[in-house]
Amino acid sequence: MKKKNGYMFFVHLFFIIFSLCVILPFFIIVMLSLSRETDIVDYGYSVIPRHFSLQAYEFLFKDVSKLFHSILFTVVYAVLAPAVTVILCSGIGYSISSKSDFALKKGVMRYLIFTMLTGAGLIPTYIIYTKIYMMGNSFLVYLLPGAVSAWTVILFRTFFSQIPYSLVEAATIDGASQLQVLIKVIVPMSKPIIGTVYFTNLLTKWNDWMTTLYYVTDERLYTVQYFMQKVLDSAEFMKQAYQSIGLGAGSKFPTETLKFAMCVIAVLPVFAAFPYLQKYFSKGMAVGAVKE
Amino acid sequence: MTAKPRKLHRNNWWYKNWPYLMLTLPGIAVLFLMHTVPLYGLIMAFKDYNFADGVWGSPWNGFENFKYFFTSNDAWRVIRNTVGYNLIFMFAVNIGGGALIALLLYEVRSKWTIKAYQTSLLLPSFISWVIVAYIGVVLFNPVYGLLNKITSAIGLGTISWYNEPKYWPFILVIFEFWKNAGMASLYYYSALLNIDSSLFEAAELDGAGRFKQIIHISLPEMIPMTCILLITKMGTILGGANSDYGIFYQLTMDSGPLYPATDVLGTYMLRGLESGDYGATTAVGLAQSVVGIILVLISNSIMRKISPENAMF
Repeated sequence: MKKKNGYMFFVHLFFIIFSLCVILPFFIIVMLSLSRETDIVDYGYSVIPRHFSLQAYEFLFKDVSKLFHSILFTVVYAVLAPAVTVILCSGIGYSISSKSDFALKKGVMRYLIFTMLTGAGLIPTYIIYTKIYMMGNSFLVYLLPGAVSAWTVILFRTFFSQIPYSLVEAATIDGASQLQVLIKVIVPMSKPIIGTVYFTNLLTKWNDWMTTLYYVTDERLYTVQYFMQKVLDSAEFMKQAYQSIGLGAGSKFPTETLKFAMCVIAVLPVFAAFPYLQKYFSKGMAVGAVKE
Repeated sequence: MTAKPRKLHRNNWWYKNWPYLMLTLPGIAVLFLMHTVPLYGLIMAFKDYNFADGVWGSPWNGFENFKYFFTSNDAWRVIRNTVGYNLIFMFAVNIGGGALIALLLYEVRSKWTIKAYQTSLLLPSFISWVIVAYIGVVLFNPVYGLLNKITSAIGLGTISWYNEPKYWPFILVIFEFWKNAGMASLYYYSALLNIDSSLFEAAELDGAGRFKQIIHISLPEMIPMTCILLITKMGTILGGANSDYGIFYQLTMDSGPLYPATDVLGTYMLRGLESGDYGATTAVGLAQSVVGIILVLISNSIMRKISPENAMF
């Protein structure tokens, strides 16, 4: 019994240390955003600020245009793009599942495997998207490239194939057409898989910085992650973004604290949605476990 | 009434399949345009690409682009880093870290405590590498950073973290563990939850201690999951087409002096895009995906032998 308690002590110790390693960095970033700029310049970063100050947040909310515009844009992107994915992928997934008698099932499946194995790679894709489709600096470049993936289609297919056939049969005997079966039987049963695909995609889109990096130079189409990358890369970018405040590029500009205040604002939505997202993620593991 | 069935009979194929065509065609069209059409651009790998002549008009140059990359100083460094980190991440984070955390979490009995621990385990995998880079700056900033405060306090002086490649293999592995081990543990944890608890009760009656139970019951139960992870990850050892190289690009602040330790195929090709070195970069991408396909086919045929239900095709 004693031995077991000692063992459990180490188990809990591990998780407590790990949890601290997760919580502490975010705590420090919040504290830095609440620091006085001059303290950071004089003494460097510290876990507990010498003087608390809301200066950075006052700056942030004085001119809300740039950061909040990118957040708003990313919200629209992260809400719309997964919906397109769900609609397009579930349709294919259903048509090639065991519930359908689609004549081209095998061909579609072969094509999907082909797309899983191959890829044009960064440069050819870039050339075709920007030179032929003219998708650079447009919302389409966020919406279309990731809209359909073979993996997602197969996830849907696996799910649809596992729905008991008796349900479909019962509906067919009652005189339902294929379309009615789909809308009245299949879709209501598919809420878990739709939720999982939707929310995993939503998170991926929220965290997307690559698309902007590759295809977008128009500031109005910056995702929040890319905006944050620019802020971290150069104080100049941040100053330009807040030029309209009228302070100019003087030394008064709270570069350090503002940077971390932005970080706090940018990460807030994920933390707020975390409990909700987590639910769908663990469900997704259960669905994905069957396939993977 | 009599004409209608005959018409249906004549167009039987279309009548039977039109709902499916409506469901598949939009998605397949998008996939074709976004994935398959760009494959045409792969011919750039065999061309001396210039902007004026375009993809088709640029002159052919055979295997020059491949030769250029594989004889360059970057080739060995980039390939070593990509394969090396992917292997280390796979064994230390996805398999080792995931299994360890799952085993530890399995010992915890209180539902509330499990929830609390899982929250902190999963949280890092929900944020992007850009945000993690902010944490990196808090630690590694040469002037203000916390780590330099510690090192100078204990008399080691200050270290220019973003200029010293020798520390980065460790930093990268620690951060990868921090960010992704929690998510990896979920797979193992769900495998452990499937174990019949009477097995443990029987073992306890036989006098087996906690460690013996882990070795004889839990670990064997985790082997199938390990095989699956090993094989599915093996195919992405060079970084898949859309691999997330954020750890190498964002966390390192894309710092040039760190490239010997941090440059991978993803960051290398990004620089090719930025510098307009299209032909050579396409060649690297093509070589990468050819090796990738071979690895996936090998791993898939192994999977079909040992666990057909987990094979991709």
